[in-house]
Amino acid sequence: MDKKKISIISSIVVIAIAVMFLVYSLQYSFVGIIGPGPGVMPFCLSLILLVLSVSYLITALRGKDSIGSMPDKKGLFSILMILVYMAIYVVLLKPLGSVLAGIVFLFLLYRNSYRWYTALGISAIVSVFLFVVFRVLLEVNLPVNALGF
Amino acid sequence: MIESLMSLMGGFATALTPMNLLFCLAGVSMGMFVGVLPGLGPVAGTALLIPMTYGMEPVTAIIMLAGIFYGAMYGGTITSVLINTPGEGASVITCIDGYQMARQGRAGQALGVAAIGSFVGGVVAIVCLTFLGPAIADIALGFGPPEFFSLMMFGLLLVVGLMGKSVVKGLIAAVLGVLLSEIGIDSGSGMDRFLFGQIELLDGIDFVVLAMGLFGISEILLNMEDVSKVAVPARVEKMIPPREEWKPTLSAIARGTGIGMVLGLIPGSSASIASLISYSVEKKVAKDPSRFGHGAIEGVAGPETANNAYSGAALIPLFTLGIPSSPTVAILLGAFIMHGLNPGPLLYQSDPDFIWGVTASMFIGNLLLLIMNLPMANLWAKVALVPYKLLYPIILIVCMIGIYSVGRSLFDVGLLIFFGVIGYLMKKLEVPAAALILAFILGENLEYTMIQTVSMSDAGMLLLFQRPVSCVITILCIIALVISLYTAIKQRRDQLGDE
Repeated sequence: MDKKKISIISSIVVIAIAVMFLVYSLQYSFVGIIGPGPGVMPFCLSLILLVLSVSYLITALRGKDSIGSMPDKKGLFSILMILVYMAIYVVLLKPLGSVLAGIVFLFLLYRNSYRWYTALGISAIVSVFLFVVFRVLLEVNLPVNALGF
Repeated sequence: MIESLMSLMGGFATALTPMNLLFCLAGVSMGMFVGVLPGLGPVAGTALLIPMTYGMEPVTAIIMLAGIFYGAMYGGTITSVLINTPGEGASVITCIDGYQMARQGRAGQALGVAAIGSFVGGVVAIVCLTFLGPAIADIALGFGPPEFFSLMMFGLLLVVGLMGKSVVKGLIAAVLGVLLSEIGIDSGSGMDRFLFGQIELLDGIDFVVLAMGLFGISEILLNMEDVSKVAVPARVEKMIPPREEWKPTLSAIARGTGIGMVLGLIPGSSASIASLISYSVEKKVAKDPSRFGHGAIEGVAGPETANNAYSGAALIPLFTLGIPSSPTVAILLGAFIMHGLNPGPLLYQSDPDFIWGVTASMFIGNLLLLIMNLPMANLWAKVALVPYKLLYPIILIVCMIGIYSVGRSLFDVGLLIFFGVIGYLMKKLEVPAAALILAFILGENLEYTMIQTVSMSDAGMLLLFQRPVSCVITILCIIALVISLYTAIKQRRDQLGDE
């Protein structure tokens, strides 16, 4: 996708966000107990955002917007995989407990960089270490499985 | 003045307790660590460690977090000089002459003057904080909602104007930041706003989630496009420069201190700008500017001093007015609020033990950093050799566990991933995330002071022009906005002219 298209799409997304906030802000009162109500500031801001995003769209349509270089297919794939693995960790955290979910997450990331047994070893050591630091030392209530880890 | 000195002595009593000393050491070491590691700047580093401070006393927590902030400025130098890779933005300029010095076998001297300059710049800035802080806070005690509203607007507009290439994109980021801060229960009316059907948003978006996503996760996603190769660091020997270089070095350190101090007080400036200006000044005043780029010692001493003086001075508006001047200071402000502290002029009266304890700890922290940097530079250079492929999964999991520990909610972890993607896209689209986070943190106060300003008189927002201080600041806001827009339009015209 070329840069102009990306700029146009992103400006349309910002316009959509502005409209969404604008519509929502109309639900709130504009008069409060001591002065302006909870709707005033969001309404003004979303209106300003709408004007700004339209100006952004005009710049984008003229092809004058400057944006950074986009990742190649390989880079994009790496980024997507990381996001998928993070989502898997979130899904597994409660049913498996933080140590096992951590091992799975880290192993998925390390398996391409190290041999499988090294990757598994590092994943296990890091997961257990973080469990001890957060659960035992910092007394954070991390999710645990039936076995207590 | 005597009063400040006495208070500072009391601060040392707080800072020198074994626990605070230990966490000061932990903070500056962590700062060195994030400074040395490319791909993990002080903003992400500070945000990353905030969850670990939950159980701590506020003074201990802020001592540690402030240590990360100024420690990172020291750390960034080492990799700039030894492997030509800046660990954080402010050290980019040090690569130019620092790396050349290393290639000439003078790595030790480059690191030596950088460490001494950083120490001088850092300590002078804290001395100013010690004596100027209470005076500014006294003046600010007379400020009401209109003054604070205009001050916050001024800070935000400067950030928008100075950071990022496009004013429109900067303003979009700032407006979005304030809108995001309005999600959840409105403290004024008790009404919930912008929940979008998600009950988890009732308490609003936690700033740690936003900061870690926008700065921490996004940075890793950005690095994933092309994992950088690690270079072999140069050897560090003899750290004191030859006698004939002392005079220009000391002059560069003095100028760097002044430049960093002034810029630290201006919201929207950054340590990188301080280093850059210092480098240009050194090049201008040098008898032989052609040496710059080929290992001029002033090219290392000046900028390194400036970025440390900057980070000390940047705390003055935070402590006295509650106004953050850069993203890292904004994260610190968030940490203050999280620990139940309200930065601003009242802090000097309501919590003197805290404020003087933190100030005193920064003297100790700078001394610890000087020791860490002079004899231990070689050791830190090795840290840069830790492979990124080993490190980034650990950073990711620490982020997620850290966020889970904030609200014990998987929804927050999901939000972290979401803001990580948003932060990545913002970087790609050149929308300044710094403006968003600053606006987010100031958002609630901005609305609160706006409502108070309007309710104070029949003049509404025109009251801003009826009080001398707020009138001057509001006019400055308008000037800042006009200059930013004028510069943007001029740049566009120049581009069209070129075409």
